Amino acid sequence: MPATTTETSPTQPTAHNIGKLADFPERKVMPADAGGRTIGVLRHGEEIFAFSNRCPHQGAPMCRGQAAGTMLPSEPDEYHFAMDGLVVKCPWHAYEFNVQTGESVCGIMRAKLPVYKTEIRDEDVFVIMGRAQG
Amino acid sequence: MTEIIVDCGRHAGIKRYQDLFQYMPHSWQKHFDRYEWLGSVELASNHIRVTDKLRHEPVPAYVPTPQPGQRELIIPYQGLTVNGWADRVGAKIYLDALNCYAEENWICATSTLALVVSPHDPAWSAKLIRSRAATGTVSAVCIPLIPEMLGTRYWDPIYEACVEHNLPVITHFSGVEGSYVGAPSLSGGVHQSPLSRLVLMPHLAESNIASLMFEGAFYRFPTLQILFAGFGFKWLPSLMRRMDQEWRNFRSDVPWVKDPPSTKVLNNVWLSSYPIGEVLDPQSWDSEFDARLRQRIVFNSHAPFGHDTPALLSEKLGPEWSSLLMRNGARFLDLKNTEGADARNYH
Repeated sequence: MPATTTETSPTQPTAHNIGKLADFPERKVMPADAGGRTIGVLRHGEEIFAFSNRCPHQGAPMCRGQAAGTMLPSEPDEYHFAMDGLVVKCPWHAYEFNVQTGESVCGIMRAKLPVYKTEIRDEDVFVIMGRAQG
Repeated sequence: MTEIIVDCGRHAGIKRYQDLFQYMPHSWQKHFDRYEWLGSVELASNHIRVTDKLRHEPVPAYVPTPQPGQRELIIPYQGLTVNGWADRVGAKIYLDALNCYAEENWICATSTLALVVSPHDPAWSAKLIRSRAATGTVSAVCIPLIPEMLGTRYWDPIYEACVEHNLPVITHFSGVEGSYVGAPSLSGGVHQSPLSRLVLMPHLAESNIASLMFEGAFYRFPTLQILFAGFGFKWLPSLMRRMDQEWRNFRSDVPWVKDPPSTKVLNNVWLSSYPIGEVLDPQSWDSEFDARLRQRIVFNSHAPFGHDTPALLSEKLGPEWSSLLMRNGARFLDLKNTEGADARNYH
């Protein structure tokens, strides 16, 4: 897990530096320490997505989840693969979540996976730990 | 006792197979009119009744007797056994004759026919459905079971014809399942005892419901209605929960399944009460049946084979369930007169 530093302000959400962009391989969920809290991080090209380590279904550790794509709703016997690298699958029950929004793919459950805003400044990755989105 | 009696599975049979010959082309009459066929077809209908308990007594001939407040869906049960026939061409001639006989002899003001189609030739069956649908005597289409699961596209010609004419599908075991090659086997392997086979027939309904759900049949045919008659129903809630759970886990394997499978059960699948012995002690299970699910269960007597009666239904399930099942049965038999999916689905 990359070392982190924290930028705080009394009125602003806290930005945690969780490492360099190069520290995060694509298509692999990485754990990161954001102010003492373990979160999941998934890189997609030059973007970074961060999300809670707790699956909203039964609390599985999402840092151990699988980075994936998914099949979009289709006609019978057709497959349309999409969202490659933007889906994280729960390690316990394979529930799929869109890491951009935290929503379960195709609405199989109402609850969302909490996601956090991220920023890349130069090569440093920051996770903004105000209230989680989702 | 309930006010109306609606039996969505009353079996009727011919006493002598020779009675069908007049409905066949002359050359086919000659083909069938010999001991090799007359003897074996009799045995094929007598396969399961091999114990004293299930001994084969001559079945009384069905005589339609219109009674006020009573409706029956007639299943020509001897047609179901074609799922164990090797001669699939002959089976169509036989079914055509049996359906004709049934229309002429068993239909009355209060009874309608479940037209038995060939499971081996869906295109031929679709033509048969279209030719008979307009007669007004047919309320459902009966598919004998074969190892081709009901959710596959194999059945689409039959489903297309059914949907075209608002005819629901009914399926019921012939009794040769798990015993004769050609009919579906039961889970796990071949059972030695006919009693094992009998009590495990619900396997066939569970398998086929799962197939219909996960192979997208109700997305291809959103208004298609299928009644599984004679398989009981108490097991349905657990199957629905299991299908929904697996769908949540593995939706991307079946992306055409866009809703929890249980929602399709509630809109497209019907179950029946026979055998009523399966559902004793309702207070131990009926909390699993919410109002929507209760709307999908109908009464079928399975008469004249060790049948359930309306009085027995009321005794075992109570008057509230009993009355509901009769009303559901009336809705099922009226599907052919119902336009559009909204009217046929529960809301």
